[in-house]
Amino acid sequence: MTARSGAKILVIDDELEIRRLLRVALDAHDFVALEAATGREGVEKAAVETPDLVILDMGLPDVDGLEVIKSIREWSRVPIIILSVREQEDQKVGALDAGASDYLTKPFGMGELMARIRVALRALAPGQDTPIIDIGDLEMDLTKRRTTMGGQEVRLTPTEYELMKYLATNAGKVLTRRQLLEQVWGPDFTSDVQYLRVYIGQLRKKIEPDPSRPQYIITEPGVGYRLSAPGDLS
Amino acid sequence: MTVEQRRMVIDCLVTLALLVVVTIICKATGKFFNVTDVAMLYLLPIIYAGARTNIWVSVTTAIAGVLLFDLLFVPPLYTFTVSDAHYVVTFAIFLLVGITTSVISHRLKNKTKETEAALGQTSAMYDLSTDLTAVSHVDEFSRIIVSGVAGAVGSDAVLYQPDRKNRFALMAASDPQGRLATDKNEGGVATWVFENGREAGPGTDTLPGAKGIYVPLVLEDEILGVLGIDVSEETDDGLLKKKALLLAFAGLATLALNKLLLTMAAQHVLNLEESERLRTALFNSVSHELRTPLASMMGAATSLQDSEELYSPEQRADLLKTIEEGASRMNRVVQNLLDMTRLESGTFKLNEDWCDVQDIIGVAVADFPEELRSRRLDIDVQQNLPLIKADFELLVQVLVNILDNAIKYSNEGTDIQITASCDETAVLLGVGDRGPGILRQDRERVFDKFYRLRTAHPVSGTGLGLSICMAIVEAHGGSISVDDRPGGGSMFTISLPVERLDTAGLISESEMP
Repeated sequence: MTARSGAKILVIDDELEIRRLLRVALDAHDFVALEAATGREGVEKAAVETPDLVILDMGLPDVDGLEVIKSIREWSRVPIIILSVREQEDQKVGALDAGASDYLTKPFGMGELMARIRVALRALAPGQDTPIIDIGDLEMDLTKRRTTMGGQEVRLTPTEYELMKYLATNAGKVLTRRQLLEQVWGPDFTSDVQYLRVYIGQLRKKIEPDPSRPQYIITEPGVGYRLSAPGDLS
Repeated sequence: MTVEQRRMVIDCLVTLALLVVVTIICKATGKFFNVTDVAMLYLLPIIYAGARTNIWVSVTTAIAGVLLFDLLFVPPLYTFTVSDAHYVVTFAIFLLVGITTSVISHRLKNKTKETEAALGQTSAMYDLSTDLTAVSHVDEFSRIIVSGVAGAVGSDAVLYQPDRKNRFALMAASDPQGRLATDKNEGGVATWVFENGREAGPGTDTLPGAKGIYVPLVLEDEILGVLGIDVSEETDDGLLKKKALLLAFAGLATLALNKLLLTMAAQHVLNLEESERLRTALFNSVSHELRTPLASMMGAATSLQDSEELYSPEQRADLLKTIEEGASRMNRVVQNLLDMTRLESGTFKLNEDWCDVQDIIGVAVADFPEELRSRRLDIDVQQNLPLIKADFELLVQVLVNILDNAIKYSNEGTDIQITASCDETAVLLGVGDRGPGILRQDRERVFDKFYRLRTAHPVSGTGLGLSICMAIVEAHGGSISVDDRPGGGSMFTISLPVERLDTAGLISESEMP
């Protein structure tokens, strides 16, 4: 595990059961859990306690989750993982575009949450940018612009490579369609989802053993895509 | 020249011809007719003129007859002097016949005209009442009433009614830009009529200066609305007639509106009963569907809590897996309930964007990691499928529901097949299982809400899944059906219309493989 043990994690959720569950799980994984039951308390604790990561429920009774993200983002770049239900796609995407790092749809598995936390904390760790990214059988050498799958070179077109590189440098983290389109195609293409669909389809044909049951490039319905983190592949 | 004018000219000419013919015949036959016969013959053109033309022509004809008769046949001949005073009576009779015939025929003509007009109004009212019987909505009713009244009366018509928020408002106008519809004062007159239940406007005691005349649609004690017509350019006579017509139409409108309101109330009760029935069915199936996984989760969790040391690590893992599976089962039930509610609410809207069918399949399959481990899954996606414009998550939900059924109704170790192909107009998605199959007579009903198949081994479910699939697919303009799968089992086929997108155009030249 690359996550720093003892990292402080602030849980902002109005449901006592969820807070209790998360506290137990976080304690067991050697994190220090802080709790807030409302959005206002959450923003306050985020400022006073300076946590290393925030887990934020989008359905708070007092403040809109999006407002909490915006308040925190005014002074802090702390990673924020949001929890939401499936029906709140727009909210999820809005939160991610507003600066949240990742999201989980309720109900979620604890393993998934720990993986998201690890990915978000790793992104903070300084000086670990390596030019070679290894995920399962996939290897990307960013200096040589070379992609291999199980040792076999995969020929990518320039756009495919840019897309793959952006996914790989954010491995494990969800990237919204907007973020992907803006990064790879440019700011004028942020609503042209069809480009993304076609190129993701092509990438999968080239790197996935079975493109119909993708293991590397995971679709996040209604949100975007995520490249599996190294630990996600068994 | 109008038809009437032309007919008048012809009738005058015929009268003239008759005068000439009678004169010539009587003159030419010499002493064959005596003077009395000649006088009788001269009555012919006079009667003709009286019957066919107006009073002035018939009087003129009578005078002409008198003059001709006097000049040519009454001694002394060829003078207008009369030797026998008796002939004055003849002349008087000529005039009298001419005038009487003319007056009588004129009256007849007027009568006919009135009858025709009345007939026209009756048939207009009949047409209107026929149109109104087919009406099922108040808006439609208002539109038909105003256009029917405007057509029959020959002026703009307006209808005011309380709207859905029970505010008195203009519901329909035959001419929305007309004087009645646009003038605020006219609206005030209509409001007064509504509040007082009495007519107003020209020809009534109240507000005679208004442009329109307004009558309330009164049913027993209740005022249902106000009907008005524009009479700003009417003479007194026309005003009376139009008012009478308006009252007649108001009566018709009241009856029709009352019937419509009663029908709507009855329909509302029926709808309530239907939704009550659905609600009961929903509660029954849902409480069962939620309690079953809850029971297994509760059982597993308490077992681990009370006596963990009794169980081997494998048994503990089994119990934990039971909890997890129960939870995903419940999550799917809740998801279906939410989808159902969403689909049935009037505000449902597809969140459409370009989707890759293979991606949809991938996400749906990923929902069953454990269940599919014990099945052989065969996915066959045709190369170069076009993207489809669709609601990605709803289509995932369709596949999840069908896969859920395929897994529930088939045995472990059997194969499940997913295919995706396309033709010119549609993308076809197929899901085949090796379950018991669905009898021909059940193949349409399985998509009905709460319809459950009776199988040898009871399978749990809400009976909502396939009806949700059907609703989602139909919202996309597609269709869903089930057939036998060759070799045994069921084969579900979803057909989704393709909006062609030239995906090749999205890839720049340098990117071509």
